[in-house]
Amino acid sequence: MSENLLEIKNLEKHFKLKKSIFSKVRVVRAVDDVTFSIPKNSTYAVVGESGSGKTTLGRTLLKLIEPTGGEVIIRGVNIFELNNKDFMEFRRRMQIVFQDPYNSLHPRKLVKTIIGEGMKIHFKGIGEEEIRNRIKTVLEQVGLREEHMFRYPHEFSGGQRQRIAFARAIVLNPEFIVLDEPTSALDVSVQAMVLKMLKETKRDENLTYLFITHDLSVVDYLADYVAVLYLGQIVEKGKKADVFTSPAHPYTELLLSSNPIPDPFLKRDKIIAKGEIPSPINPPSGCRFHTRCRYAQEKCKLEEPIEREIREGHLVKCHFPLI
Amino acid sequence: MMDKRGNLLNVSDLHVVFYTYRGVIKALNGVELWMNKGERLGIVGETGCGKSVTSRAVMNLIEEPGKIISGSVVFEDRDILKLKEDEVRKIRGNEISMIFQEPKSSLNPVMNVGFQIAEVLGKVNNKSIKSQYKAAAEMLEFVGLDSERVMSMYPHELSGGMAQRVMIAMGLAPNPKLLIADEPTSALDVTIQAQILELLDDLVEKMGNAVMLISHDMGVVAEFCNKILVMYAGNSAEYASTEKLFKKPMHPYTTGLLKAVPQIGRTDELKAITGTVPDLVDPPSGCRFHKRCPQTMEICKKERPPFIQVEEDHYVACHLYSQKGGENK
Amino acid sequence: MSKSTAKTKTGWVQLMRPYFEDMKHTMYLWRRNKLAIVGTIIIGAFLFIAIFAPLLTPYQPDVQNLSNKLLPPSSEHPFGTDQFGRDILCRILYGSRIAIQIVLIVTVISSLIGISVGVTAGYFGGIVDEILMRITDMFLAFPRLVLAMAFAAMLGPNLANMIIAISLVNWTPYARISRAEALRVKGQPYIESIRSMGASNFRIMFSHVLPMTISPVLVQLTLRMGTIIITAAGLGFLGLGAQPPSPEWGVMVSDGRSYLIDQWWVSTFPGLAIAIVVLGFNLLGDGIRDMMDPRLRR
Repeated sequence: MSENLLEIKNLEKHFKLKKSIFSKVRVVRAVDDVTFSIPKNSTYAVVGESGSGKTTLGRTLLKLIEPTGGEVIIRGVNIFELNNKDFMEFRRRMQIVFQDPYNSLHPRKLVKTIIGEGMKIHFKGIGEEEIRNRIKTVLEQVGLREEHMFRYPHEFSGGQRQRIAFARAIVLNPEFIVLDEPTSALDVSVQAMVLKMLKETKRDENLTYLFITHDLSVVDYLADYVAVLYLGQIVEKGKKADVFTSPAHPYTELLLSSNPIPDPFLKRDKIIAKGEIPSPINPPSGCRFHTRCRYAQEKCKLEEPIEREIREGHLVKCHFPLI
Repeated sequence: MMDKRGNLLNVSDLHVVFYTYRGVIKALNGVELWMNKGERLGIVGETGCGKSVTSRAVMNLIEEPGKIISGSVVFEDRDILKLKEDEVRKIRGNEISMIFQEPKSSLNPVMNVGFQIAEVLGKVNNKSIKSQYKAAAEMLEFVGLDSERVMSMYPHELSGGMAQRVMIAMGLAPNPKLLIADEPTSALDVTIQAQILELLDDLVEKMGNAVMLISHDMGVVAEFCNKILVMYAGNSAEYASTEKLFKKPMHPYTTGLLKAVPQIGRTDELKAITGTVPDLVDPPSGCRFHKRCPQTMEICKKERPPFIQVEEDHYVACHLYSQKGGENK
Repeated sequence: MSKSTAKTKTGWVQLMRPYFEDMKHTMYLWRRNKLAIVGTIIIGAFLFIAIFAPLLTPYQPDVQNLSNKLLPPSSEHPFGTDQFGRDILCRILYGSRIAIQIVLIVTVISSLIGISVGVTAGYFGGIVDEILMRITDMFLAFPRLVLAMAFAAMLGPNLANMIIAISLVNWTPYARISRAEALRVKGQPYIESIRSMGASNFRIMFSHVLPMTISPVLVQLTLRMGTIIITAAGLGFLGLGAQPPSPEWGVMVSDGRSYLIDQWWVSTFPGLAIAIVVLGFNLLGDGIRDMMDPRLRR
């Protein structure tokens, strides 16, 4: 078993919704009691549909959104207990790349400024020359060239912008990067290049990724571990190979089956889900998936299943797991 | 070239441009496509390849600053581009209807769902809107919605999947000969996407409509369509039956695209197509793909490859298969 | 690689390229907007007159010549003379210098106040926003001219105090706009990403949010220049602004009041000057607003 870089314990983020002073406060349980550990130098994928809380999860564990409960432990330190000054070091070590390449770069700043900004914040007293050399190195690392430093974001295509966003993250020598749907806004041919670049940089720089996505085929390409999120809870987690070849939770099975496959010769019977994804404001009782589950029984409506290990490192939260 | 290749729709040599301050965007550059009755054609390609523009041009819905400069869109035996506006309007929404990517913004936010469907039905059947409420409710049941509840709902109360079902109900209400679906599931979650595609598959099977499905997702097209047109930079690159296209892709762009799509269980390394989509204000000469093509030849820079038939149900615009290209090889 | 990235130019040409591109597009939109062209011409002429006033007239604005008093328009005095025999055209030309001085100083002061209040309120939100915006509301609750009069009367009537008074009532729209803009910008992913780098609030506010609020405020600045001139003229007319013998346009209109029936030219021409310049600023402002409209952009 490899060493864990990051341990997330009972992480919780509840948003309070208040329509007016007279109505009752409603709570959105965006992330609800999420626990998992990310081994060093691995890619951990978090898969989920809209409303699953996957984006909130990524931001909460970087403390970009204040959590309402739980711990995030990196190298024995719970980052939620640090004061601002001590936390700065972890800000540098933990970076994030956002989904939208068109809005995540400041439109009025040169690429050099965008990438160099973080260095000015974290490496006090660093010289202009040094910054430039470092930017040049990372630009080449992500497949861009030195002269791209003096351009503005709108001069780049979506794929190139995502490379810039990634360069900005790795320029600080982080250990851990949250990738929030980094390729979902890109065309397939461009996506392939960016995915390859992500994979290579991870190997060269000894990075650890948390990869947030809704696209299972990309997960299969990039990830070592998978956690499947449904309405704020992890319903299944384990090694990617285990989860993908023999899914234990009916929801994972459904997701895998729904994923369209570009191969007309592969005939298979698709599972079609019942109904809509329920709102996280008022999630179903018992097992949250029971309203759409084709195996659901009486017990599922009443009792919330507890997570159990069905084989080494493969955990599932279901009363009647498929294996 | 001008012979009829499909018995429902024949688009040939379609050119569309958009006038902007940067210059003229040559969005469509001689698009060729055809469809038979009851057939399902998938149009795939990357952002900016002109797939949506093609679907709008088929309905003669290109608006300022765009303009159709040449070509023909023959629907059955009428050239839509030559008809008068009121005649086209009769075809639109009766014989050809359309559903869009953003179902919620395609519905009128201040009218309830029942009224909007009844309105479509009223127009189709030439009757008052009031008399169509019952039929509208049936239509909603038909697309798998609870009509009692949904009839009085407003678009903002619908989820994405429900809204797309309502759009499908409206699209299929006139029982069109051709249904154009522009990225109908791109904004939806995978499980909902599967539901919607299944529903569409079912209904179209029953009613026998032809469907033109526009998508960037090879998987969706592979699962839903029996013919596929691959577009690149405003050109028809390759047209084939789904099986042939996947078994034996001919155009280097199609080959590249198929190698770039990640797929569950796929073990070989992804291969990206180098370079980026060209700027259509100043497109590359000759074949618009030649700068990114791994098999580019001298002739590709100079001459536009013709769109030719290589075998039954398989057409390609590439010099590797044209006569001139053959000589150069 | 696309065509543009194939070039290996660096240096200032490369640096300025986005601005050139932007300017090209702006010129394109400007040419299509006829009224904006009219506005530009009016304001251009106004600036020209203000700069070259002494070269355009043989007279002095405040030299009295009582033997020539109240002469009707003639070839010698195209706009006639006033009760002290001063050439009205000459006074209007010199008056443009005062007008432009008022407009520029008021614009600078009030936009500085407005932007700092607005951006701070919008960026921090919460209680800071509440307090700053309620103060803004208090200023907005009074009619602008009345409030300006109150300030001017309080400070004492002269040109400098009038400028301060107008600035004090004129910053509110800039505050509202920059607040709205700051609110919008702070929710953008690029701000979130700079926050994820660990940047301080101060850094984010000044070097990332502030630059984005400038252009909508600029539009508002030009749109409001007309209003500043009207307010200034109004205060001058009421005796709360520039004092005679200053050739300020409002003062000139006021001077001619008692002769309005028989010597109409004394008040009419400065009034017309005010109207034309205000019209010019409004047309230009409208034009700029249209050009900045994101629906027309790209």
